[in-house]
Amino acid sequence: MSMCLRKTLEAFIRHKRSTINEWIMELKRQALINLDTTTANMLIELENHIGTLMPLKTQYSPNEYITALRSHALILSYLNELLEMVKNMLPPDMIRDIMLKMISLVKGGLSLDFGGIAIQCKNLLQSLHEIGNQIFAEGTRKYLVTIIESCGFGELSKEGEFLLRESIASLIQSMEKPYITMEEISMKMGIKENQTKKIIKKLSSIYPEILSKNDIISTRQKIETWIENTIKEKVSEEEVHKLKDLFPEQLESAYITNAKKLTKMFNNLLEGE
Amino acid sequence: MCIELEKEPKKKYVTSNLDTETLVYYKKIDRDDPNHFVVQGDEIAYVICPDGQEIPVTDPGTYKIIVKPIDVIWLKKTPIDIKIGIPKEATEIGIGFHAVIRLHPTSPSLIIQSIKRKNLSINEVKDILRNIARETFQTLINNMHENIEKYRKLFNVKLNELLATTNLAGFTAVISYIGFSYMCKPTELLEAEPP
Repeated sequence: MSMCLRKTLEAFIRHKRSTINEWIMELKRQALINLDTTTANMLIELENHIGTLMPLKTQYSPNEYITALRSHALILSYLNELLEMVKNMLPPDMIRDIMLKMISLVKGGLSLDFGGIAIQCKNLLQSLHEIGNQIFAEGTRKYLVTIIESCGFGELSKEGEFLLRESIASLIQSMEKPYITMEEISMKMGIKENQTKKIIKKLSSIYPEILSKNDIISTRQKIETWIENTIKEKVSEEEVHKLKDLFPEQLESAYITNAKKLTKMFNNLLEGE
Repeated sequence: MCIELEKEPKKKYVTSNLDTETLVYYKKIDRDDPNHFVVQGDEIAYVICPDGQEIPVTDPGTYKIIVKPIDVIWLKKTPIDIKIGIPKEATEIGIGFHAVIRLHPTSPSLIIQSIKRKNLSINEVKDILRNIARETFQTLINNMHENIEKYRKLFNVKLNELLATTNLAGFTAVISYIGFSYMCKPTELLEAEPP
């Protein structure tokens, strides 16, 4: 069990709990000023739940304790982002429901299923649509960066490595161009560049779908979607439908001819002609 | 960090002297004082390290002081009920009132900033609340004919606006009860002791 990892996770949990409690108190203040005792009581209940989000060392073996710390830290990272992003957008009871569902995921022995917790959190947050995806991405990023920056990439669990791969893949996917540079990953993730290089090298050896060469990183999926989007942008859907209605056979023949031309064009480009 | 959580309780430690008359307790822990301090379950503490770093301590337990001297400020997590009365002579319209105000500590960091490094007694709190409750009453004289529940809500919002400008910024007030002198029953007046 790494001392650095244990101390980092304990400090992370304390810090997040304190920040979350300040936000809950701010919401509670608004409710109390308006004499809305129902909301105030609900927030007090939530505050008490947040106070219990620290695993008890005596309940676990040393290795289990680290896993429980990881799970608690990850959940708190999501709860923190949830409050930061939606506290003024969604009604307090809706926020409370999601928060309580997430808190229940780490109660007792459940906290040892780190991978399951991450997946269930993703599913829960997806009910908030786009903002939920942002909460998941940012919560995951902050959790990963805290461990990597304090104790190194080697301290991530297998599930943590998987989450990191997902984060980098979604970063690549969000780019307009078909790849991302090492510097861009470093800036967007908040990890030092030399550390990023080591991470990418390791990840591309574990996950072959991550392609890396000369500080340029991409995925097969990104290249495919980029080509698809580039073609789509230049095609007018309405005109294609009109052509299909009027000249279906000619359209099909033109489509085949052009697909061949496109393949030839790519081959020429790749051969530098 | 000038403090860290101690695994086991220690024999010598500094504790808060929060009693029924004190709402916020401050102590400078110097070189001659014990090396540990305690935060109880119903308390929050704020530690100011020698380098100026402020550390909120929300988990109860015993804490080891790594670098001395430090300033520690303890406050109660739980809300407190304060009864205040304003005599009719003190208002412009000859109507007095009394109220039960529940004070919730909703922003501990702001409380620490507002009170600075000193104790805060219940008597000081009562004085502040009396002044701002009278001011709130004067501001809302035209709303007195409204339904009492609606009036109580208006009173609460205005009272909290004024509270934010005092040493009690960081607390949130909730008017649990408000009654006016003209509501007193004749039997209560007869039972009341002469001044």
